Amino acid sequence: MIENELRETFARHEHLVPDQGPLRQAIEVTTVRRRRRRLVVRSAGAALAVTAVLAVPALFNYTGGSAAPAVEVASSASPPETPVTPVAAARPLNVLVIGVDQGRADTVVIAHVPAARDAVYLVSLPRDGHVVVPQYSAGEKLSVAYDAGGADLMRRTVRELTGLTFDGTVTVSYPAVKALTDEVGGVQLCLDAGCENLDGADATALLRARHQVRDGDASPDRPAQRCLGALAAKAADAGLLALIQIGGDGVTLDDAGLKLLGEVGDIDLAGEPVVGIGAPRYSAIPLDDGEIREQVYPGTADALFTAIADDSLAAFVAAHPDHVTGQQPQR
Amino acid sequence: MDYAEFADSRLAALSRYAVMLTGDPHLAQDLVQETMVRVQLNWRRVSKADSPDRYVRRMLTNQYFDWRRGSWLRRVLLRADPDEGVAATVDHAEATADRDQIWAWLSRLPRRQRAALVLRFYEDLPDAEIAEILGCAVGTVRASISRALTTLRAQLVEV
Repeated sequence: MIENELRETFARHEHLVPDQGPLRQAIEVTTVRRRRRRLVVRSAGAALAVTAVLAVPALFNYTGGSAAPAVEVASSASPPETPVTPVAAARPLNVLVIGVDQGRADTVVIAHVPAARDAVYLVSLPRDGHVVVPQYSAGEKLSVAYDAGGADLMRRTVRELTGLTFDGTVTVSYPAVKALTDEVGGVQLCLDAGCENLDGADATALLRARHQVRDGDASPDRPAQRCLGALAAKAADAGLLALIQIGGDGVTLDDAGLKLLGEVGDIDLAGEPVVGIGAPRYSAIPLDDGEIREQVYPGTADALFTAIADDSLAAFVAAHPDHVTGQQPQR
Repeated sequence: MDYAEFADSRLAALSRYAVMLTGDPHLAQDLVQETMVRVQLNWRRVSKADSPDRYVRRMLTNQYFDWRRGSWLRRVLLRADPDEGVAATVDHAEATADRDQIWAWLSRLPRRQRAALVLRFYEDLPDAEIAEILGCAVGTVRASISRALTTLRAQLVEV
């Protein structure tokens, strides 16, 4: 009987089953690595989000402060009615940028522009970071704040975490990213094997690919980071006005963001470096239910958030070079 | 049940299942590893399933079906002959004794048929459960098994 022979054949090969100990360990190591990788790739995504942030003032400058067709306003508040008058006294700016993919907060970044206007800092916050969500939960993933209360609750959650108040909150979607990339004619991605031109769909796929990225690949976060850096650089060259009109559908500003536009309409950051900041290592907080949260900037959170508040990130970066995930000269 | 408890109680059984599917300890290890990493990353969803065990088996089975389309096995395929795909399995089996001819023939069956055979004759599951794991109708399960047995019988006669 073939059925019985099959049973015997299967039973005879049970010795091929791999040892459980090493297998279990390999699973743990890979899981942690993949979590870490998600974090790194996400911090690269910030570069795109900030391209959009920087582009918004350019649009308002152009339209002289009238209602902007390409920018969706989050609340019913009207855009400023008087022509934009740039503030004379420069002050540091903090903008919260939320990258949204399929309705979920995928990227959360604090964009900091120093009073000296000599750089843009992008401070990534881990999506799975363990945080207090005000009036919602004493301990949750950061991304849950967006699920539970949108951009507004996310802003309050980050304020609770960092003590910072924000000059504006900007929400950017992946379709906007795609449009931005296409608008600049794609970006060039150079790896060891050579250079390749990516269009918007490619770039978006690369960003989303973190879920499919496997361990066999050589440092997959690097291509994503380079691709995004290249886009930020190209965007600056191409003139940001056109970009925001293309990407407009996916870009949302809150009230404070709109007010901000009036103040910073003419700040010129072209040529200044964009510095990405992220935690140098992944530090897990295992919870009772088997879920694992990430600790937000283990050991350096206070120093970092204080440096943002004091406008002294340059000194922080000098003291913690391992926190720099990438630096992109804009040209 | 948390993830650690699940792994403690189910990892060995999943490894055996993967060996029977792939016919190769290295492929089986990769398959289990990839599946369990996903299980851990998505534990909340997995634990909400009616039967986490069946849910994970289904994940692993899908992973097995997809392995040439997806990239996760690329390093395995690169290790073997890139054009042959899973041919490494055949070589391995052919190197073994005559009595393992059935084992060798198994590796030439379409994956869906092999999976159905493993679930019926190794895991001893009822057809309804097999259908759930394979994500198909019960009738399809029976047809797959019957087709696979016909193929194996024909090969037995030839020898």
